[in-house]
Amino acid sequence: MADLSRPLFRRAALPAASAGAAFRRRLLPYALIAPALFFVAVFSTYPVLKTLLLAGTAEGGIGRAFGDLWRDPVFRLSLGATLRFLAYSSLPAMAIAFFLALWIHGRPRRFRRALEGVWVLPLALPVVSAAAIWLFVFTPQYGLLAVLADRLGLTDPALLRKPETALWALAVVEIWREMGFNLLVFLAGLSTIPRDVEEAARLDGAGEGRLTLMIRLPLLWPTIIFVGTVSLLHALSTIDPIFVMTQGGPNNATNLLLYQMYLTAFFYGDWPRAAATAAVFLVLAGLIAGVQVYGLERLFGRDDGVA
Amino acid sequence: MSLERSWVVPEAPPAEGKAAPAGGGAEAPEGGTPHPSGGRKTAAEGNRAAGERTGAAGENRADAGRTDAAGARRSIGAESKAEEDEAAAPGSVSSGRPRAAFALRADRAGRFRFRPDALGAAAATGIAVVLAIVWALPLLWTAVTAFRPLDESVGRSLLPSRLTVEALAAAWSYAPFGRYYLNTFVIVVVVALVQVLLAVPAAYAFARLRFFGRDALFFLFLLQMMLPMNALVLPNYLTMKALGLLNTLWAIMLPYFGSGMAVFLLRQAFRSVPQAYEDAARIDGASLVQVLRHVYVPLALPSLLAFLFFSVSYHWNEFFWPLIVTDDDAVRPVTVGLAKFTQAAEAGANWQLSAAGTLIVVGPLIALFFLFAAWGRARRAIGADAGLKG
Repeated sequence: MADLSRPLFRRAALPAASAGAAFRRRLLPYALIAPALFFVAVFSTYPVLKTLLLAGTAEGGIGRAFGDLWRDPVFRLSLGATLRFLAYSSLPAMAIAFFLALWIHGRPRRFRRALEGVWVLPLALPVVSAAAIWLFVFTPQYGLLAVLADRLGLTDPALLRKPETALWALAVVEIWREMGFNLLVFLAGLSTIPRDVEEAARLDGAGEGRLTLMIRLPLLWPTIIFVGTVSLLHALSTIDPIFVMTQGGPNNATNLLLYQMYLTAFFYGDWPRAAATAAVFLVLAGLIAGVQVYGLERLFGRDDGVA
Repeated sequence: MSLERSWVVPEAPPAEGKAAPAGGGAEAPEGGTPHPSGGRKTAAEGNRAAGERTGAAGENRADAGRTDAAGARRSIGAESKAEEDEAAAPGSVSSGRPRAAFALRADRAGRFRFRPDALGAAAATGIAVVLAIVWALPLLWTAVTAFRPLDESVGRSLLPSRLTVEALAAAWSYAPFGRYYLNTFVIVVVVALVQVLLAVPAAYAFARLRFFGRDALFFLFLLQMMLPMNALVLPNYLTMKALGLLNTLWAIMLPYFGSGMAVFLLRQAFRSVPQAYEDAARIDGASLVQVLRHVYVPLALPSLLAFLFFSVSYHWNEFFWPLIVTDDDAVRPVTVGLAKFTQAAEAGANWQLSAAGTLIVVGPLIALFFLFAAWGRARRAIGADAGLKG
């Protein structure tokens, strides 16, 4: 009996009309890819190499460029602020999203949709406008917090004027905008947990807390790693709110790596050092992306946490 | 809350949560946790379904792992073991909680009901409500500020003395928001169209053709997808400068024409199209373009739409790159225009203007968001009416 699952004929089996036609057929894939590849190569592949080349134009070569960068106190402040910002923004965003996902999960659907909207809406807004919106809350003297504090007889918190709270204020914007994404992914993950597993645990007498700790958390590990790496990458690329809210201050507290790179290149004109900063940024991004791709595959044998 | 209520479509089925155990007053409004038999059915149906389900679940678990064995044993003899379960539950869970609130028990029909800790549930709901307020408040405050009269100090009172659109009108006349919107619209549409036009043939090649260097070339596309563009602005700025394209819309759009994500998503979708469809079209004399246009693209529509949604929202929201390559209101997109506008308004401590500008930018997006939400709900309701899966 004929195998119907296979194609009836293969193009490769057809004799080429001529040597020219065969040549054209071999070129076809490259012709199909060329236009997209051109833009990818010029604006993505080449820039990675160009970043290293730029860093190498520093006096004393590329090694010197990175050495000087490491000895630059402003860069160290910037790197430290960036790492702290990653923790400040992505951990609360994940914790809140996980809590809300558990709270929403299993509630009536029409209730669910209405609620999700409140937390997902910020995702639809540009980060710049999110920063502007929170500026109306945080700004000393005129912001909502200042007005509320005034009403309650407290002193103005003036979060943006103190180094440590300014970084937190920046993180709040990131959390406010990105949390909805985490929430949606966690909800999708929760809905994939088989009902009979939860039922079995309940039959064995597990309460909500134990169910979450022993059943949901372990089953959601891939989802959690996916959400974690995505929010880390987002937090790492944060730059828009800095322009609107703090301009890197006070005292470099919110001068994250990308902003430092921008200042170094466009304000101080030190392109080699800016390129070296960009290279450090790329390494950090690569590490996070590596955890996402290989970590998920190694640990769980699947390439994403959502499916 | 009235806002949320207003987008609930009346045709929606009655709240499932209402069927939850009418135990503590605190847990009733939130609907509680759904109990295993599912609250949607009538009591009689529910009982039957529950019986069937526990039976089926028991069979499933028989060949599952060791941890399920106990569950299977219990659920098979569910009815007779009910009392035993009730006795065992409080001991096996943490002690010190009120037994009635936490116990797992079966009612007379053998239907299991889980009673969550009423206190814990109330606390969780309280936290969620606080979070909802925290999430909504900044937007509401922005709106209130935008509708405040221009001569009223923001710091003086929480609510404005009267609502007026004078700040909105002033903001609209001070900055060319119309121009910003037009620029953003052009950028978003052109980028999305070119991305798809270039990605379709490339995705086809990666999905269906074999050629030397395929994996290496595909890796470049994956790399483009993973690399944050914000980190590559320095070399790209130099490229644009060399091309003499600074301060044009082209400078904003060109780096995104080759999209790794479009190629990746479409390749996945194309691979799931049966080869026989293409062969059939070929036998009928279709050219490669026709095959792509009439066979592959229509079948990859869900992926294509998902990508378009991603692309449009990404480029609508993008800020850093357009900020660097533009220097002029004539080519600025909405995001950059807004940042410049709020900076100027705040320098003059004019918060009403700044808030009005922000509202001009986010207002249409919020309207779209709710429109889509309502549309999705309506479609589901219609689908449910027509007997489709809601």
